[in-house]
Amino acid sequence: MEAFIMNEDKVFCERVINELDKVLKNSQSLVQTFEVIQVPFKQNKSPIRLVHNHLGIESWCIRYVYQYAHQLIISHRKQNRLPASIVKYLNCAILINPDVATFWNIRRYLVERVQLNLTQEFQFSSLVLSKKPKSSEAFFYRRWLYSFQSGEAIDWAVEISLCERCSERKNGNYHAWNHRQWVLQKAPNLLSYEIIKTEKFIRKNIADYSCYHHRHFVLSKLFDIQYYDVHDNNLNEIYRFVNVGLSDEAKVNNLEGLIAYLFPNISIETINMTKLNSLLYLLNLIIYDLNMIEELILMHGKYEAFKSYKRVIISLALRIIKLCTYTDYLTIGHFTNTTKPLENTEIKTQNTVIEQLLNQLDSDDNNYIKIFF
Amino acid sequence: MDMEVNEERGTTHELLIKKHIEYVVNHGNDKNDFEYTMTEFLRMSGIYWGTTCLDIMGQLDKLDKKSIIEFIKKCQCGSSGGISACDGHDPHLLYTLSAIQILCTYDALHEIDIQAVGKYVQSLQQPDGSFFGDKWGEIDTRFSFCAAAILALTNQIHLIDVKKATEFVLSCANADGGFGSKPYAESHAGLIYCCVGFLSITHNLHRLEREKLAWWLCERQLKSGGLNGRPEKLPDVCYSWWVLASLTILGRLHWISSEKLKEFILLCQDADTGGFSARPGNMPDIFHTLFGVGALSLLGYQNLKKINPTFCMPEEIVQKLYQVQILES
Repeated sequence: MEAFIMNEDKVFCERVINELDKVLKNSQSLVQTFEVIQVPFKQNKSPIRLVHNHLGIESWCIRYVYQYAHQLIISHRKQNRLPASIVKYLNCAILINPDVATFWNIRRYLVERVQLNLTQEFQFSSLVLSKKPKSSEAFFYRRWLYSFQSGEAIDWAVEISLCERCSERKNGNYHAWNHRQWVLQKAPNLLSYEIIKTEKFIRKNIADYSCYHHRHFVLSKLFDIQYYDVHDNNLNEIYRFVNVGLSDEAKVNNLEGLIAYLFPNISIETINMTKLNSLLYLLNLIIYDLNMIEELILMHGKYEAFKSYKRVIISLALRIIKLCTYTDYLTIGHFTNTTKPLENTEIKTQNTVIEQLLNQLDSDDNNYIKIFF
Repeated sequence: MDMEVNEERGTTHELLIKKHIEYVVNHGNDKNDFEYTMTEFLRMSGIYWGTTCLDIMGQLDKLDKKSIIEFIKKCQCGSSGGISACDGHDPHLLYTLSAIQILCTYDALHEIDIQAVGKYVQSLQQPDGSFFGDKWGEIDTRFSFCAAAILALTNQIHLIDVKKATEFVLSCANADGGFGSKPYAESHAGLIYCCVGFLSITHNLHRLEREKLAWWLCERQLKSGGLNGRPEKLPDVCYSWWVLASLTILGRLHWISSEKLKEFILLCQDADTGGFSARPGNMPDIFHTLFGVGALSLLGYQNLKKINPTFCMPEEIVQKLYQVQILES
């Protein structure tokens, strides 16, 4: 059989590539996924399959088709002849082997010469991601394509959904999470929605540390843009946290009391309320997360992800408490951005909240705390 | 996440040097092979993995130097000066570094236009100090490492703004002490190696949070003895290199159990075909074979040449070309 195909190579490969091209031309906007279907031997019908919106190619033919498309593209590339008609070979070769940067670069070359349409290119790269959800080339290509569009015209939420789908399909999908961070830096207005999305993701995929890291990124960014929820600035988590072990008379139950407890040296009249609100919002979230992790430990036992996440969010909390305590960050109209270096021991003795936060770290993580906090 | 190590399937605790030499030498002999076409886009790195691995095992002369150098010459781009993975592909910093490493191993830098390579690297540095991988503009700390390594090996480091390049690399540090591919990206042992390697080349290791980073790296060792690249991931032989090389540069190699790691790496050998795989029982490949052998060399395994942790090349070659910074233990 192999010899037969070798002889018929060209005709056969052209036929398969044309058929694939026809499907993509007629219904690329509808085709949602691409997959290589494991069929070890030749069947007496076309190796291209389209079932509903799912496109497939049978595995037995890909070695011939790929080698044919590959050779054809590279020989064109060597002669520097890159007509738009090369796209059907590129489609086929990239769907089978998405790692070849040179193939993607030829698409870029054609996009720059307006021989390829941006919408279709977005669709194609998303099809590639349906086959290989961690394709760094496909994500990179999408970032590059976006440089041709003005920010106002882009629906960034769609891009977040794509990242979410890719992360769902591949545990610890580094490139998908990186791409998501890139989107959020373009569209910081989406940051607040990430709070709910990442919690859901974490609860479904408890051992995917990439999502915990992403949530930490979201928390830090929310603080940077001084975010807080105008409609619901609920601080119950903080109150509950600081009131543990306090007598009824000493309990903190209003904002003034809370400020006095957290920052005894700062007078409320001089405080920038936006910054204060965002600080409290973030602290509240961090304490919420610490409780969530405790709950997850009860349900699932110990995971490295839990320990690692606790370390980084507590370290984030310490960083912002230090910023507010030892600089004029919270003061109206002043912020010098220079944190004077302080010894950790000095900070610990001055701030009971920090002490309480450190107590939240696992007791078996004592060495880490002693050295790094 | 760890794995059960099953020692039953004819495993060995010895390094099968002869088998590995055979594996590397025969690798890619069948040029019509489908796999060979599928991996053409990284051919230059493949050759670097093979030559370096053989050199560490003292058998470099088993490959044809002349044809390899001819191959590299064909891959240098006449207009940009960059080098591609294979003739017909586009130049990229990743493959430019692999080509330079091979040429250094063969003492043959003069065979290509080194000044053009220098200009290529220089042209990819951005105002914030970072590097594009090629003209299409992706940024990654891997490319910072490639740029510094290429220029150090060719004695042209003055061509770039090292200060800014260092600031960019340091801006990729995370709260856990590790580094990612760009600012805010998750810590990842492969990228930590690139960043630590960059700082070792530019003599800026004192700017690291050494202990915190070394701690994170040590936590990569799992009960099986193998190392993973990130929390909750499976162990993999290639991380034996990236984690171990970083720990060596930081002077903290003794913070992990060498014995257990050695055992794990040896279990990843394929006793039939030669070569190492990512995990015991997987298919071997040339990439994991270099990193398996390289890690064993860092652990002081007998009958292997000493490997330089920064460049992943034989120490005797690096000594002649560049003085890297390594922290005392």
